[in-house]
Amino acid sequence: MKRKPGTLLPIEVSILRAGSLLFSDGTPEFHGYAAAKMMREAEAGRQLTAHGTLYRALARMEEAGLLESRWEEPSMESEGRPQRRLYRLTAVGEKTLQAAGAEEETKRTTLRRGLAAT
Amino acid sequence: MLVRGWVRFYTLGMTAERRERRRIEIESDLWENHEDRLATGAAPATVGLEIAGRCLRGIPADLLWRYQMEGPAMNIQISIDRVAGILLLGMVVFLIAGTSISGYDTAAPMDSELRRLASVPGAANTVFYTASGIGLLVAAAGLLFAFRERSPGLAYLSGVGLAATGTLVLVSTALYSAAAEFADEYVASGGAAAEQASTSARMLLIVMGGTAGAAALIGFASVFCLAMLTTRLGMVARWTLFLPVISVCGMTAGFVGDAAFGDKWAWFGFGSGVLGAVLWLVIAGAWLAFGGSGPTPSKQVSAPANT
Repeated sequence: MKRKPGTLLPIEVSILRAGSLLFSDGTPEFHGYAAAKMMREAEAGRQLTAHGTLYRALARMEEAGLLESRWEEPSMESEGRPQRRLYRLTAVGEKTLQAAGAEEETKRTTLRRGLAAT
Repeated sequence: MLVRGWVRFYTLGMTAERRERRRIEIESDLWENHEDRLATGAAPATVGLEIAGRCLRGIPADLLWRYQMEGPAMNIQISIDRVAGILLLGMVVFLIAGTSISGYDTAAPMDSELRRLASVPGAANTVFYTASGIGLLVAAAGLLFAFRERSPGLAYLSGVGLAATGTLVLVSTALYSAAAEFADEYVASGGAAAEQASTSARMLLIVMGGTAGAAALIGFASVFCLAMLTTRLGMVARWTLFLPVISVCGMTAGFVGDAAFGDKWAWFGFGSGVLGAVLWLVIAGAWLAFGGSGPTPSKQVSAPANT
């Protein structure tokens, strides 16, 4: 199914939100597993996002300009573990997340008003 | 092992750069996941199961990603015109077989008709007719897919028509098969049982005459729509259109002749109707499938390459 240009899938909003939360926590760049873990915690989920779903979404978002990525530079800290692919929200990604948040708030307000009216 | 094997499998055939990127990313994820869970006190077996679950749940997305990553290296070019040509050629067999289901001659005595029906290899005919019905359904779907974007009205008209023809052929086949069973019973038994079998077979054959006739009518009308469509799109020479016109006129004359003048004239009309449609299918099908100028790649399936 084709989606409207500019609209985000729930998983894409979740990834942007996870990236933003990690940034607030002092981690400007994040790897796939960190995003999956943050998404689970932020949404009080039980399971981590599946590999395929997560990395497909990350690739799509990078292509759309919402994220940018690079390979981690080898260092003492990274020794002994596989190299990480580090993602960072772009300016477009941040704006998109804000817009998605505003839209969600509007929906919530409308729903509250609707419930109050009944 | 499961996850690594799966990653190696679904990235087969990709460029080394993309393949390595996905492999290292998953490798890193597995390591982080494993270490993180062990640090929280989870048992290694539980962690292994959780990771396997993550992998399995993501398989559809992995496959979709793989499909979308197909770049110029695996560019699939589907020559829709050639496929349509092959379907039209296939329809020659399906349509002739599908519309040739005729159980009985109304002018002949029922007894001789049932004995004739009992003597023909019913099972082989049933398989052949069923295959024709299914073939028509497949051709309907294929031609609808091939033409729906270029000429939606005529594509849907001919596609739905052919699908209806295929369905009616399958219904006729079922009726034919049941009638053949009763014919066998009629020949094998006698007395009241034979009488009952004869009545049942007759009833089925009458209904089958209706469904087979409707299948023929709709089928040839669909061929006419296909001829209009391919001519309008400039895929087949305009002069070939006279054949489906003859077909429709012949069919109409056949039905009118049957009602007004009897079987002899009716078969002349039906014969010319079938001949016109079949000739058009052969010419148009060969034109599209083996055209001298080569197939026109009218649909290109490719996706932008991600990095």
